[in-house]
Amino acid sequence: MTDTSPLLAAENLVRHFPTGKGQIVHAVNDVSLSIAPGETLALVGESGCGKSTLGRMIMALDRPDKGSVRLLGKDLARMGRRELHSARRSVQMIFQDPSASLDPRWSAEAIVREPLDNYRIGTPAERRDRVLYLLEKVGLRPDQAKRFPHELSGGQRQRLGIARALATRPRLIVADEPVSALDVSIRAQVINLLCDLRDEMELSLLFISHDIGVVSHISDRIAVMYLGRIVEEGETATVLNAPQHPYTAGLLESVPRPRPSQRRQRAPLEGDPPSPITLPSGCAFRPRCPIAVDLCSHSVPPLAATVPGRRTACHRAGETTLQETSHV
Amino acid sequence: MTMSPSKTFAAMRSARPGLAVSLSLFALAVVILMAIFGPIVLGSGNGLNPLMRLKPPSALAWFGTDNLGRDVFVRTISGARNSVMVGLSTAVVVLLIGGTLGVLAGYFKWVDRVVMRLADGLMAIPGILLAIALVSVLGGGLVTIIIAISVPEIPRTARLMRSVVLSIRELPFITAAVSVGSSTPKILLRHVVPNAIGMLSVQATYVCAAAILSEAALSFLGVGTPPDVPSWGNVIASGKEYFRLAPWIIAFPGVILSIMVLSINIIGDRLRDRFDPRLAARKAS
Repeated sequence: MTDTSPLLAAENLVRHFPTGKGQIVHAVNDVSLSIAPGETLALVGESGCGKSTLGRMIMALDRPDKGSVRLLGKDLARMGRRELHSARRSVQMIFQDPSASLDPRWSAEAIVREPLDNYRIGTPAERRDRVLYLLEKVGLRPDQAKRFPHELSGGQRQRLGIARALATRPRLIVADEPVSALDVSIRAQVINLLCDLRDEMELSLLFISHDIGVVSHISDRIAVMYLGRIVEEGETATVLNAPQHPYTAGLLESVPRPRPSQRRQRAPLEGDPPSPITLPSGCAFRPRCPIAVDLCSHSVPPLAATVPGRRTACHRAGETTLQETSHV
Repeated sequence: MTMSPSKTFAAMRSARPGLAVSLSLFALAVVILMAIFGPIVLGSGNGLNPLMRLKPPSALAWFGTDNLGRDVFVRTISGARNSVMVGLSTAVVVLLIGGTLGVLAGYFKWVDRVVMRLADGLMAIPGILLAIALVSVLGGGLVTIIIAISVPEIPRTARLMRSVVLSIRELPFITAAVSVGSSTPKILLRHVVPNAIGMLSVQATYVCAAAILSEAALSFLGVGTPPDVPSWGNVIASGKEYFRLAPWIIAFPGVILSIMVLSINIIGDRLRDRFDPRLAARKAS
């Protein structure tokens, strides 16, 4: 995990949004993460936990209030316009809603060509060939090149979005809920496509999702976010099999299972996350936590390494095995 | 050979707007031909004929005559030139200036502050009053009237474009364009403006129609085109005192004015549909 040179490293990112009434939305609070070349990191959490804001900061679409995003060691915030433009080439994004993220007036061909034109990749003839190559790569037919987004199905649109993201040969792709707007029946196809392309092109992938079930198939590591903080991070298999944070355990419990009678004996999540405007004192998860103690209400648990390659932000991590905290 | 009910219905639906648009285009073409050739063929219709005062429509004078014995038909045809010129020129001027300001204000916050405060100031003054003031400062003439009608219309169009652009710039495909490295001018010209053009074309027809009405109002109030140059406004104005005696003086130019405005609006709606591929697809299916 602690690679010599991470492709992307976010350090102590903070992003607050002022509301109109003088209040502050604490969207992202002190988040650090890194992605190694070729690695897939899944960022998981409920909606509103700040995972998309984090993604936007990594894409340099939003500026952090504090902290830095370093791409190959270079701080995005300190780059000039030219430098940022060329840095963007190596980080591309796949959006949640394929219908809204494709300009309705542009044909499929034009959409995939846009990044090629922007970075003057190849001659115009080579660009045309590359567009067709990319469309084929994501499973679209050449005759669909002239179509407009509304003439494609939801799955085809997301394939188009993937083709656009691949056009500049990026090193990292940020996929912000890439399948949650799609029909369940085609989610697997799109995810498999994404995985195949990732392996073939040796991409790093930041996979943002609220669905911990989807993530388990594709990611090397998982970072679980709650109210703007990462609460647990580690190798996918270890995190899923033996969660150390009660929130992770609760999320896993909320994944539907084929046989509901075989419920694992874990505390399910109850209630809603508190408002990011008025954060609870101490640990943000405390009001919903089944194993909270006094300490949790006045001190924020740091994200500390419990075992090498594993970090958990819980005062009671390692104290209890969460499987035992039966709530039922 | 029977068509299924849904097919028949679809055919009817697609035929109807076609008919309305064809009629509108026809009406517009007639008015534009009137504007070009009317004054050449028929003259200005300024010939006074005291014997023919306030005569109802007849074979001699199709739209009747006014209080000075002038042929209302000839004056209406000749008046089309002024009205069409004013309408089209104003639409072009307002769209270019107001549209550009609106797009910039919608996309750049600092432009927004300056432009919208100026717009607020201009919009606080009633349009016709402002136009009258401008005409009296700049002196009479067609160009002056176009400027005078454009100035009050510009803030309205700028505001509309601003709000359209404000909503477009928040759409994910703009974010996507930024993330694939498109420059701001490219995003404005290739993504924002094309997606606002539907709104803009509807606004263009509205401005064109409103300008024709404003010109009529200015002429009606006596600050527009001079009385010896006929326009729909001053023809209607000349009939206002004789409305009960000779309603045709107001009725004919009034009806033509209405048809013109209606036609422009119908064409505007059609344009909006054409520019929006999603709507076009719905119609085709």
